[in-house]
Amino acid sequence: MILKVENLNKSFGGILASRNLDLQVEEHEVHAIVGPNGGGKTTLMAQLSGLSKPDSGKILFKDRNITPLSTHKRVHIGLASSFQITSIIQSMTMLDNILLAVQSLQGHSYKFWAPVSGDAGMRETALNVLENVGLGRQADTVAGKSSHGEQRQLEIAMALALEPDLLLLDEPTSGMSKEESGEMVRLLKKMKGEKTILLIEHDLDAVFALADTTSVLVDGRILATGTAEQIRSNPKVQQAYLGEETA
Amino acid sequence: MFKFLENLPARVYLAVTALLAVAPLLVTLGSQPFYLDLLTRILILAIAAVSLNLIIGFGGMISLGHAAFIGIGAYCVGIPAHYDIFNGFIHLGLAISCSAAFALITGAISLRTHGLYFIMITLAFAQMLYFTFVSLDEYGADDGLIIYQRSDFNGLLNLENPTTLYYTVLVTLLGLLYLMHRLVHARFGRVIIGCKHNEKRMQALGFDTYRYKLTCYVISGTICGIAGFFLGNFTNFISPEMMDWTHSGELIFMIVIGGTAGIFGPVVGTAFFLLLEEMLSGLTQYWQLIFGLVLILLVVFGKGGVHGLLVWADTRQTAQAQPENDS
Amino acid sequence: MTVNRPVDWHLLVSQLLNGLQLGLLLFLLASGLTLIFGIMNFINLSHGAFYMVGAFVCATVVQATGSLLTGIVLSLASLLVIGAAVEWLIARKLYQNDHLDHVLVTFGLILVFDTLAHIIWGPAGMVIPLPEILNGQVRVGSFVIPSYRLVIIGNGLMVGVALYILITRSRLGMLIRAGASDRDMVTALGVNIDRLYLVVFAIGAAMAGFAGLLIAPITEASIGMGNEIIIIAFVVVITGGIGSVQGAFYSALIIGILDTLGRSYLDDFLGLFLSNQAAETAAPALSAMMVYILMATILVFRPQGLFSPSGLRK
Repeated sequence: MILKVENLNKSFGGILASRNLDLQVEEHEVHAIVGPNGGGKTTLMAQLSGLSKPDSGKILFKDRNITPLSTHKRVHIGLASSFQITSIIQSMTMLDNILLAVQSLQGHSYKFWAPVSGDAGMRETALNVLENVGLGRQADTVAGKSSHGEQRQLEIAMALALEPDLLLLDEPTSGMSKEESGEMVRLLKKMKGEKTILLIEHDLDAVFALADTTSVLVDGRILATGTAEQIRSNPKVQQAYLGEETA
Repeated sequence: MFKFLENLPARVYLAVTALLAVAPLLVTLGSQPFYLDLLTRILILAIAAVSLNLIIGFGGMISLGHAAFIGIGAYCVGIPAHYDIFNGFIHLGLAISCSAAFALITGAISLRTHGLYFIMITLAFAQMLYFTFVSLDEYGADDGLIIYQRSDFNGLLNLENPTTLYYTVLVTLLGLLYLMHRLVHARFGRVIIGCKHNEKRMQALGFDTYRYKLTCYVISGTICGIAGFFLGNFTNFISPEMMDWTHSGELIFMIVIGGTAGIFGPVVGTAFFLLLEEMLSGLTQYWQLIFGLVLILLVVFGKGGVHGLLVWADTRQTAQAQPENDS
Repeated sequence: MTVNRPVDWHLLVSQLLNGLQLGLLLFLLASGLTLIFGIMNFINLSHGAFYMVGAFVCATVVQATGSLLTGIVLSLASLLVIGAAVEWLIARKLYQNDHLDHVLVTFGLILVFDTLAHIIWGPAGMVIPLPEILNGQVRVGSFVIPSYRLVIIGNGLMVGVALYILITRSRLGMLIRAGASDRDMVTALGVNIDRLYLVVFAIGAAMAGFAGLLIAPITEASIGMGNEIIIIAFVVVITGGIGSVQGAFYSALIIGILDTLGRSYLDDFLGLFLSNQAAETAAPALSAMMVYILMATILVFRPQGLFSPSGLRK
């Protein structure tokens, strides 16, 4: 078990976004979290990545209590996240965006003299990451000028470049066309078995195509966890969530 | 080797630098020592503007209290001189360490906040220092101190000679520009630029952004302290008025006219500002009205300052040249 | 000199009233500022210019007509117009821009306002002569209080109460509160947001002008008179929490009283720990810093200020 969430509680102005939430993620699985809007998915993600702190409860990562750790510290023990709202550095090239991640992996950046562009090793590592997500040819494109689909790919590539043990993806197909979304699913499928991935996703086709395990998050707590088949046939889930979709 | 000369901004900046290098000669030939004073002032304030641009243009930290560092540097010359200590190494050492310390303490508090809060807190800390010096009767309070003798570097440099002072400042500025060039292209600079555009992402990439920004703030404040050291020596007079917040506003004005995107922009902006001030104040006592209007128009209609204009002219030129090449 | 000096109650009361007076003036400035910051996310450095213009216009009218009331009415009316004009012509175009643009443009406005004041009213200050009835003194027991001081305090409190009622009871106030905590919601309500911004800006300017004309009979109207007090008003806004009128009220009073008492009592207080000479040297510097130290201390524990409306965490 790589990630264990125990009894997580978080409220915003009286609304409980997480209530006694428990969750477990096994190594090398793709674990999807689905649920209706306002069910607390984004709040959960924010607490896992360290952007917000739970009111109570514990987050264990590789058997270590990481609840008090800030975002940047979590990255360096192997927990990387990508955002639902694309958060790439728009004015930099694709390559420069990835170089930032590579730079972060290589220890501190209190280096004031040697230009980054002169570091062939770093460049090669970054180019490899771009190749892997299929952006190899766009390395020198300014990130903000590429298509939405490519920006989403870059968003995920930045997290991948951190070589995490657990990758948190917040709606990787957010705002994508059907085609782009299929491309993203193919990309994520390639990583299956190698990486542990925890993702939030809206597109249920994508979820059932990708995930080994799916958890349903409703009203701030996990309603059910299981394989795609188990989730689909679970009457509680149908009532609370899937029911609306088919109705 | 000279490939960078292909772009227009670089050519213009090189020409400006060359002109500055021979300026004392021209001034002496024309026997107009007044202009050497003006140029020295431009170079000193350019050092301050370049330092401010490091945090504003590259780091996205809009400080409205940078004049405080000029004041600190200047008082580090004036206060020892008040006690008959004229050793330049002591003056410079004090200027560097005091401005670094002030930047560290105020930066540590200010950088816990963002946006509007940050702007107003840097402003408030600078005013705090201003009022503190106003209340210090020992050092002349409102009236300030006269410095009877410039910093003495054991005969290595004779700052009493205007030409020597000019070249010392010029060399410092050029050294600083080179330092900035290295810094923004090095790992540290990349992190700072990243923080300006998306701090949350930088944290998610594993950077402790607070510390990087604080380091950047301290570097900037310290360099500005050095500008203050020169200004104190240059004017032979210091007063709390040097750190009044309107001067911080003027520094921002300078870097924005010059353009915040480049390293050289602030130098051009400072020159533009001071020369315009010189010209207009000769014409009318209401020159500040024109300044204010220029500033408002610049913000409402123009973008990118002189540097932006040069880049724009350059791309337009290339764009026009391209079709001809094709045919 | 400082040891065991009996407490001078007359001095203490008079200093407390001074502090209250400064606090209420700060509140008049800061409440407009905090709403402009909070609702429009716009940083207005030139708010102090409204303070100055209020004083000058009132002084001009009073000197010409001899009527203080006419002066006040015309001064407030002109500031409503000026505030609305600044919003309509300049600020409105920049709400979406970087804060750097706000700083620059309002800095430019200060230069314009200050120079225009210089051109119109000349470099010297202008007095506002007070009618006899306001210029006297009030005796309460053995305390003698200048009556105009009570006028300032009374007016400050009155505006404070009026603003409180406006914000908590009226529809405009409801929108203002909503705007300060969640801008998107106001837009979603289908409110004409442009008009709301215009009104808030104009009222803010008028309140700053009112503060200026209140103080002018004591200090006289002068060029740049707003540039100093506006900084303390910023401190009030940050300490109180951007967007919170309530926060501005409490922190204005705290800062006004702390600043005034600090200036008169800090040397005595330090005398308890230090030699007299050391206390007398350190006290002025320390009292000048006190307000800022308070701000820094509060920010260390609460970076969003004392009363930040939710939704404004940035």
